[in-house]
Amino acid sequence: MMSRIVQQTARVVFPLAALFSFYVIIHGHLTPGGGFQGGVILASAVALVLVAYGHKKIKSYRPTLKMMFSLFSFTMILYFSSHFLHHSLEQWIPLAQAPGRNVGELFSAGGIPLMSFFVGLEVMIGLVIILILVRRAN
Amino acid sequence: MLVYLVIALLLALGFYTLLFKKNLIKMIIGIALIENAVNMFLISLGYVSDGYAPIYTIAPAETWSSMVLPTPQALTLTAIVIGLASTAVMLSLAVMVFKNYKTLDSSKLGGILSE
Amino acid sequence: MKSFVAGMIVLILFAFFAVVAMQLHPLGYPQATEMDDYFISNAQEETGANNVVAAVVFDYRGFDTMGEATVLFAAVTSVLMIFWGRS
Repeated sequence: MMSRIVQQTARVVFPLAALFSFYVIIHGHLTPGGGFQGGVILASAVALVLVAYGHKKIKSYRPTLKMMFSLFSFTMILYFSSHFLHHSLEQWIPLAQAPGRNVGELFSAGGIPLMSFFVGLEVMIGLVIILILVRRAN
Repeated sequence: MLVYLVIALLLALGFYTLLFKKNLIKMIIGIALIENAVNMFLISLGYVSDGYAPIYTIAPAETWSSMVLPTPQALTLTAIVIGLASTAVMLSLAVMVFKNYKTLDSSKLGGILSE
Repeated sequence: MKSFVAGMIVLILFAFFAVVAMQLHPLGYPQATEMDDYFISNAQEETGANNVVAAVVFDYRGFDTMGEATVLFAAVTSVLMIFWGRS
């Protein structure tokens, strides 16, 4: 629970940090970065808001934690299925036909942006669960 | 060769912190030091002299045959996330130890039989 | 007395690791690069990605990433189990 200045600044900074992390995740096959790095950036942006506003603002811990854990398991099932099927689904993803040389277009590389998106989401949810649990225990 | 000497120094300091300190948090910091040194060693094995980053549109077209090896970087990514996961579990166990025994000194925490 | 023994152990460990490190190949000339040569020359045609590291992590070595997602899941579940006390 910090002062008013810190709270308003965190409110302004959070959308910019989230946008930057989505940029790093989606451009994983063109620039350095990828799934894990973008997920950690998003988790640190959420941690900034959590520190600025205090942990007492989260109403009713148990349903929140249960919902987050179920989202985490669901994202992991989505990642597993997209990992096993991303070669067969390459023809069905529109505008992203994989093989061939490209000069750096965004819509390329088949199922790789899809997989890195799920991994980034999963890393973010896991780290935020750990942060809320360790903060609440005191 | 200077790289390998620095990594050896980090490993020795990490082992010293793990063996000779009594506070639980300091032992966990020693384990994290050892993990970081091993990750750095793994990355430094894949360096090619005067090589470029392994991205096709950033490296000039003549140097496509002398890129830095990409496989150790992929393995190190996995190792960093696993180190993060194990450090998170160790720290949460330390929090539970402090809650139940009110002390973090490993010489005062006896075994299970001294209950 | 205790700090003398500690300093000696640090020196012995550092000497042991340094002797091993001196006998590695020099920095910048890796040996046995057949697998990485194949990855660098064929990654753009087979996967269509510009970043070779992303192609290696998600396509050629995808099962390692799957195992690491499992480790992350196990760690989050253990922390949840440790702190699931009253309230």
